[in-house]
Amino acid sequence: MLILQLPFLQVALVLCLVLTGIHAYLGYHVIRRGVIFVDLALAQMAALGASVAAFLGLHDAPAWETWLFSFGFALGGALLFALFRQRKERFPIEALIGITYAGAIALSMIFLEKSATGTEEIKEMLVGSLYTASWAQVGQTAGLYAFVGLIHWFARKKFLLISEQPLEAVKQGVRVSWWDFLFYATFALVVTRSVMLAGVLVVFALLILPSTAALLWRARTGERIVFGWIFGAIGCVIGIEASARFDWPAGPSIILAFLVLMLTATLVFQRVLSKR
Amino acid sequence: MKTITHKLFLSAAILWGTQAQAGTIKVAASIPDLASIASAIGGSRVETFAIAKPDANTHSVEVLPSYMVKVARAQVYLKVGVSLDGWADAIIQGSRNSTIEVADCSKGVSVLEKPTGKVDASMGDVHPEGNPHYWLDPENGEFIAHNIAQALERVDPAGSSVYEAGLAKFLQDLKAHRAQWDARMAPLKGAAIFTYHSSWPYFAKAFGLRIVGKVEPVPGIPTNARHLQELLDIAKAEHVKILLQEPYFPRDGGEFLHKQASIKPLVLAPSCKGVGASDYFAHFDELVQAMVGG
Repeated sequence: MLILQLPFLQVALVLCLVLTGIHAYLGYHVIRRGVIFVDLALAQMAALGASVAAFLGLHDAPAWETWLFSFGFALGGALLFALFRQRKERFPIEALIGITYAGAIALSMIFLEKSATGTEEIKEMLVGSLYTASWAQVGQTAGLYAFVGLIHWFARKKFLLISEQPLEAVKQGVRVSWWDFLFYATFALVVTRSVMLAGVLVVFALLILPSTAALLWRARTGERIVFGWIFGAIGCVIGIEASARFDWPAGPSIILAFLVLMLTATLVFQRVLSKR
Repeated sequence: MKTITHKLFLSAAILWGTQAQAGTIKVAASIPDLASIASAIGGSRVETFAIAKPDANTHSVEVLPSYMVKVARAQVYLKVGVSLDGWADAIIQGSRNSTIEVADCSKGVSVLEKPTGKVDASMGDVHPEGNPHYWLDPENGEFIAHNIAQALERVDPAGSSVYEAGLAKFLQDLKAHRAQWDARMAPLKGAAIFTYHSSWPYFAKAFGLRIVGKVEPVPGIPTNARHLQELLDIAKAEHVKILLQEPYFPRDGGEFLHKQASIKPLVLAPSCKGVGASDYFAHFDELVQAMVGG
């Protein structure tokens, strides 16, 4: 195992596991809600915020000011998704996500064209690389996700009810908009960070693949989330090891590992089911 | 299967090194051009490697595990600087090589297109420190060579006589080549050309070419119909015959200019092809050959 020998692979693996921890869980919500591309839209909103910061000439300002812009815009996206959820019968929320995504890209391109500097950094916001992360970044990220995880632990009943049985939630008089805003706000907090570290591609895959596998083969909510974690963790180990052995870029390698895992699991589960 | 075992072998070689390479100074560079000059100076005493592929856009780079391993084992890292290769810092940091000597090869170079005063928002994606493609002026090859020789001497003082000799020879060869290039380029002196991106001001300055228009309206932004029309007008007034086009940008603008004004799009990489001692020169040979048409 090359992972055991090379420190930068270990950082990448631990980071990948930290990311799996929160994304495999959030992915379950996202899939149940049918808002699969919400991470792309929120990440793009964050990039738009950074573009506006660049436009205002905050290039030399401390990094947290730019971050504040990023997170502020992502929060705006969260608010939008929470408010428009009620009008689901008029148009699907996926359409709103698509519109947000396209609109955010278009606006940030215009802002960037009018900004003198910072364009490279903003492009880098969406194409992070697992291999250049430091232990300090991994630590901060783990802390942030633990905080988000805590919020989700306390709000788990409401969040799960809204994700799994939205009609039932409305019937019980739950203030869905408010809980949705909290959900998307925490989601924005997570993806703005993870996209910067791992890139859009990896974040998207971590969100969708483990939780889809879990939905296919597990029936109960708790089991599904644990299954997603296990699936994601195995995929991270195989993906990073393969990346090191064959000298592939980290992101595509991890996604390939997920796909192979999914295929293998399908064959195994099919056989088990057909024997019954 | 053969390629897989080959690659497995490769990564094993990267990891543990081989006895034959043990004594050499390992030099990592952001672009092949710097690595090539290092090869010329260090000869068999150094082993060079470049991160950016010759045909790739050096403004962004996909990080592969082998880069990290090689940088971790390197004694010297050669940066382009002028905010071209910001990714180099992330790779160096990620490799956890705390003893590596990082040399900014732009030291001493007079940087072109350095924005004076406040950078204006309408200028597009300019580099605040100026245009970073300075290795395309052979004169700057001298500064690069001096910077590299100094870095090599710092990490390997025992080899300083080798590096001094290598440096002297490189500078002499550069001068000889320069005379040939100048002679061949003489008919083009003062000629007006277009470029796609702003990779070529140093090359143009070195050989007395005038860049009268760029296919990109502002750096980093794709072209548009109105801008192409303006270029056609300029082409007519200035008798533009050549467009220098980087391989990693879209070709449609160049094809349009070719059809409308029979401007010849020359697809040429701003970086040399390999890290060998003669590759930096070979790149200029290739550029000159393409320019004079052959």
